[in-house]
Amino acid sequence: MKRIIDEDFIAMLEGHDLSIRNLMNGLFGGNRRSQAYGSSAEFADYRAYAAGDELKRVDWNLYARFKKLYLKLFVDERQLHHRVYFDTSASMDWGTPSKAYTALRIGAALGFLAVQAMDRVTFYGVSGEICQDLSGTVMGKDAFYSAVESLETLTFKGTSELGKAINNTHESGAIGGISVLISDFLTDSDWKEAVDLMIQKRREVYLIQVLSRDEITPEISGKYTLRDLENREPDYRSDFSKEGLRAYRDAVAYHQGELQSFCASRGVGFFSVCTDEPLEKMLFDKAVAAEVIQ
Amino acid sequence: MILQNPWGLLLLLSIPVLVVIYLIKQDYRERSVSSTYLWHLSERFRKKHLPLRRMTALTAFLLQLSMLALLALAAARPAVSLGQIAGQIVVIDASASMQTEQDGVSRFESAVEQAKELAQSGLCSSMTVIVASDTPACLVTGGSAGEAIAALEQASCGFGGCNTYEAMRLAREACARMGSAKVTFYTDTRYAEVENVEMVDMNRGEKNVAITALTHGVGTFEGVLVSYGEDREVTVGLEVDGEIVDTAVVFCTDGEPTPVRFATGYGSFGLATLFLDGEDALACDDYFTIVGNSTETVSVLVLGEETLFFEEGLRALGNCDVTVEPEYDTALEGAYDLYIFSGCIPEEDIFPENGVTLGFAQLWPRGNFLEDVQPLSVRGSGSNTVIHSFLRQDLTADPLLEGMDAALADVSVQMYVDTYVIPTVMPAWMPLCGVSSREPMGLVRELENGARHYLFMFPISETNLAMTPAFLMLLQKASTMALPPSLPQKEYTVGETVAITLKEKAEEPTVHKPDGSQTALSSKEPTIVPTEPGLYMLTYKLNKQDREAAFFVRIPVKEYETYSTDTVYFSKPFEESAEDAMLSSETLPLAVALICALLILEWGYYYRGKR
Repeated sequence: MKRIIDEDFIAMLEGHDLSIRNLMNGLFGGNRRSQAYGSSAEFADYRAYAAGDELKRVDWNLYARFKKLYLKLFVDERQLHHRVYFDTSASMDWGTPSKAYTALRIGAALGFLAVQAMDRVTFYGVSGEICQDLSGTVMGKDAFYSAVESLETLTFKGTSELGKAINNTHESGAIGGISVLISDFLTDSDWKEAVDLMIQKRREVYLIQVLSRDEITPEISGKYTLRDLENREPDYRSDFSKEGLRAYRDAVAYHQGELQSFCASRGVGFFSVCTDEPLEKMLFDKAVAAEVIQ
Repeated sequence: MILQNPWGLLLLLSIPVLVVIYLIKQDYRERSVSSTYLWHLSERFRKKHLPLRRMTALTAFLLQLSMLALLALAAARPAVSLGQIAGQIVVIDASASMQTEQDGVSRFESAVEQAKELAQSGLCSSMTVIVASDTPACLVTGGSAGEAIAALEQASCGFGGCNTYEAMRLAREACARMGSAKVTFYTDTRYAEVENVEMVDMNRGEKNVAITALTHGVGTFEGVLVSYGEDREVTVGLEVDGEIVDTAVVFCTDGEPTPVRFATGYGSFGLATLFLDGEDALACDDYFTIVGNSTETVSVLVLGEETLFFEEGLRALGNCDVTVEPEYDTALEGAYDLYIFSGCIPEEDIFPENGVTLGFAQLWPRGNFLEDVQPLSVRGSGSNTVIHSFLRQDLTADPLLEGMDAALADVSVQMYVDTYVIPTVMPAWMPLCGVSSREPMGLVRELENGARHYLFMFPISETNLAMTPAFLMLLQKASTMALPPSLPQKEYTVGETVAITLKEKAEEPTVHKPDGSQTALSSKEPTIVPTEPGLYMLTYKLNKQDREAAFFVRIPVKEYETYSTDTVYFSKPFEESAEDAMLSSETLPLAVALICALLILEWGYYYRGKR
């Protein structure tokens, strides 16, 4: 597989960050605003003095004006832990460039943005009913680069049961962060269950659908028996014509619409990319529109 | 509807072949895709259009089936009747070959008899009779059986060809008047392409010998004979100017031109006829006449004392009647075609106003109108030294000197005339030839009626012109210009227009036909269209003299070949209805082209699917 990141890739991501919509709890020492009050330089609120509070946090200017003691509260900053799940089924190894390559590049981009913001990130590969930790917890750019090297050796084969696999991960939900599921979603399997599980653990969830051009607008004419690469779906036999292609395009639109409406109903971010689109468009048009990146 | 070519329906056998091909084509190739999930999902959207989709899948097959069926139908050449046949149109070939006889009955007579029987049969309510000669005529249109029989009895065969196109045009008109009609064509010609017409072959395999050509060489006559139908030995004779001079027995191979040659010693003659001894099926091609050169005589008046050269030269031409007079008298004007003034230019400019005049001036033009020209000088007087070549310069394009090779002709003594003086003193004259453009020694003048005057500024005795071939050529051209041939050619074909050219003063042209009858022609642009073969004589008066010319009329060459004439194509007589036109053979190429285009599209569709 080609290298999924290079210097241009890194340079392109400079100045961007993940978009965290909700304030979440995390580990100490991070760079993300959290729901708790802490010791950062960013002012948050005032509250009345109570016994036992540190006197150094009393705002004496207010005391001079109102003759009452108030404490000055500051925003607390935490470190979040993001998770990126790759669908590693055989159907992802399709297209030019392959959907797998595109998925890894998007995942790597999100991972880089995470470590750049001093967050943690973990990459998972979903294969069958197992959710395999591909890189361990990545923190810092050095760890990120070594994680990317392990991503480049990832193989895409077999099938994926997204719901069961994610359910099998031991995610407590104590540490906040975003969870991104990157797949082609060309299955009726339990990916919806996976989304619900992640929401239940108070994660901010994003779904990214990766399709190749010939999956969006296939060119086929004549009599064919189509064979599923994962052997998950039965063979499809037809005399393909313009009418059949038109129905297929309707099916693609319907499927994406269903994804969209499901995500909207759960408050989940969603966008779909095509493998022949430039990465800039994927990240800075579609991902920004879906509020994954800011 | 009838099928003109039922064998074309054999093409329907290609339909099972197409079905077999389609059955073979029913294989599904395998192709891997990342997921068939969306394809299965698409079924939900396709089911709504299922009947239409099935129709679409069948479209190509049905189209191809239709194409093959249409092609087979077109090949079978269906014809739709225009309705109940109300009448009968009879067209009878009246060309010369239809005069071919067998047992005393010609093909034409036999055709007429058959047409009469058709009329008497009562199978048709009305009948049209068309005789197809060079100028086809409709003898009766939509008449009763009695009227048709009466018309047929009046019909006669010609000696020309058969204008099939015009005959069929008349048939088309008659058909339009009669509503619908069946056309029967009695002919001895086998046409290459015939449609909508019943052809009755009148060729009964008669044997015929034709004399197709006769030519005259130096003391010889050579003819060509062709036998049609058999190898045959025939006797031919040659008659020259009314006397049979020789006969010969010739063996003719079937269809091969056979030459026959007679050495007679005749240098010139009036008429020569090669004839066949005995009888054969077609009489009008059993003789062939050629007309000699000595039939039209040119009257020449030579004036002066030095006339010997002219007399001898004109006699050598063979067709000149020469009269010699010492002096010119205006009373002689109009009685001759060519006037030659040899050293006796009259005092006044009173040259004759007809024909052609050649004037050779005396050495010192004292006492005549040339004196006014004031010749600059007379060079070489009294000397035998050749000083200038005759026709050294041709100053005016003139038919008299055109093409004349006068390199050997010299003039020893001549007068020079100043070019600048001529327009003043002799305004109608133009320089003709001379030493230079300023010093012409020959002048020419053309009168409004076409008469031409030539004036040479030297005596004939002071030049060697008469000793050179150019002299005879000069006299030949002068005599031809004086009396141009009244007929442009001496051999014509029946039906061909003979345009006769006569001098302005010619009177009462009359044509004497081979059958002995006469036809008086208009003296202005007289023409005649001969309707029978043979020798025609043209007589008229010119300059109070009787003139005559002859021409031979033969039957068309094609008519000799009474045996096999299948090279002429034949046009359809009817304007077809739109329905017929769609199915006729004329639309077949278009239909085939359309089918090919559709097949190519179908192939492209299939091939793209195969990829």
